[in-house]
Amino acid sequence: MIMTTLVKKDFLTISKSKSVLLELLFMPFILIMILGFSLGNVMFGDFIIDTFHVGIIKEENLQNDLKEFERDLRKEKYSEPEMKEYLSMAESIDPLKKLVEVLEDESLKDILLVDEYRDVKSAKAAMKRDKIAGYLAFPDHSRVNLWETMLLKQESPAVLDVVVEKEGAVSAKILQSVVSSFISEYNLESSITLATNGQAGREENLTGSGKVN
Amino acid sequence: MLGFLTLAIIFVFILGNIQANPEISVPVYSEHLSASELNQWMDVLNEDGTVEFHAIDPEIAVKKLRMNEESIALHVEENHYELLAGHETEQLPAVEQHVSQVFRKESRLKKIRNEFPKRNIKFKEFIKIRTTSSSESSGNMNHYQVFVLIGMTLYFTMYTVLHLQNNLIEEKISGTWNRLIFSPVTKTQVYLGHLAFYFLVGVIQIVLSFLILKNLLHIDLGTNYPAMTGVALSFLFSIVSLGILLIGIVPSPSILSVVVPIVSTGMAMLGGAFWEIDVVSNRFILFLSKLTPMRHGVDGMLEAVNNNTPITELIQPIGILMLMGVVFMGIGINLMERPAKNTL
Repeated sequence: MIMTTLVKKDFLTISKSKSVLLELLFMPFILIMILGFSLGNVMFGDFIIDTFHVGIIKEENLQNDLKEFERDLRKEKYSEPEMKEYLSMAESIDPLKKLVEVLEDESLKDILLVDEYRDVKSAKAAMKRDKIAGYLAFPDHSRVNLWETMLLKQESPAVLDVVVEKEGAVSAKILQSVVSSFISEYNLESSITLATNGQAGREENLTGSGKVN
Repeated sequence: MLGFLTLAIIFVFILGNIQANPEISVPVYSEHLSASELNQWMDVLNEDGTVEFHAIDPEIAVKKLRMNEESIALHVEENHYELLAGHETEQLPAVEQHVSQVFRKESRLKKIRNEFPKRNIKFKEFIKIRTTSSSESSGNMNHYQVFVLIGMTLYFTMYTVLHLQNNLIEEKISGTWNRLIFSPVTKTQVYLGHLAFYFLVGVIQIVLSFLILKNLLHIDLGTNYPAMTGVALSFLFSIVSLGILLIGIVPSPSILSVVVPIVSTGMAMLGGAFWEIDVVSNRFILFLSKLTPMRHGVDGMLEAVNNNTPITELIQPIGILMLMGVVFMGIGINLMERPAKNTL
């Protein structure tokens, strides 16, 4: 009996104190609302990513690299028809061109959009202005090195620069993941094509042979 | 103040350490492959080093998954693999992508080797990817720790300053405030004296939190002190002014003690002190966040620490914080003066 009186007294005291009631009612309500609105999409699996832009250095760059490759071929004293063949092959195996095709694919159009830039400087400036989340570029000679490795069997390493604004950001992770899958596939298919002189057919529909439980 | 300082340190210490080990380690087991065959798989899987794979007994792997000691395990056989996930973790997609890439590569190479047995088919890395980020943070981990440190420090400092300003409202109610007004001390001196105290308490708390946590967790905060000081001071100014505004609005200390946790925690949530604001996509919340001093404080401080941005380029967050401070202070003092006039 005394216990119920005590309970009743405590309830009455609380109901008289406006501040406690306010805290009890509003604090969780406001915090849950903010939490729900800001993190709701992450927590409840309905994660929508805002479409972001990715910069690619323009075609002119490819033409310059092709000219450089031509100069190298001339230096190595290749005949005119051979040179022509190599140059057309070089253009057809340009990884950046293929990468752009992958990035512009229908399946990625809701996630990322490709913007073209004249040079690295303008892409950098666009990234600083938050217009693009990152850009892809071959550093000087890198593309020529790649052609020389693949076509002329020389050993010169090629590097593709993936420059992102903020490492660890969602957009950076997506871009890195798409590019790394593409490059790994490109390296694999190129290795096979070169080792088999192009006799092995490209496997278009590669599916993983595993499952996730 | 000491209590809040301790809380800030405990929070950052726990949160910073939880994420301090970002390396993903996945146990690998096989029921039919021999030890050497499994080792071959391990070598291939560990080649690029982003995820660490280690061999383990099948029974132990399953047991560990069941006991929740491991969240992911990889079951490898000659022609197939199985990724067992005890529960969904954020590492799962990364591991899944890596494993499926490796297996696709190996199965494709195997197929081609069978097709062309006379040729030497080797995977060659024609293109290497070099990832750079324009911000000069030393990797993801440090970035997260710096973020937690800055967010929590600013949050607890805001809490302390607003909480301490309860004294002002008590002085107003007990009549001490009116006595001060009647004393020969000028009003400006009364206000400046009080506000300078809260401001200094905030400065001490920020400096102590940064110093202790920097040394405790070995977080590299860089040496961009002018920019950090500029942001910290303008942030504190806006918080002290916010406190004055709250005192002006709220009638009693007990209600202020209710409002302070709501305002400070709400602002910290909105302003991105608890999680990075990039995660939020709701435009309304993003708009609200821009109205809080916390957002500009955290942004400015992160910019100063991560990108070594000089103070001259941080004029925008500092300016916004100062402007907020002036507006809050203006409205707050106005509201505070009103009841004082009535009592006269």
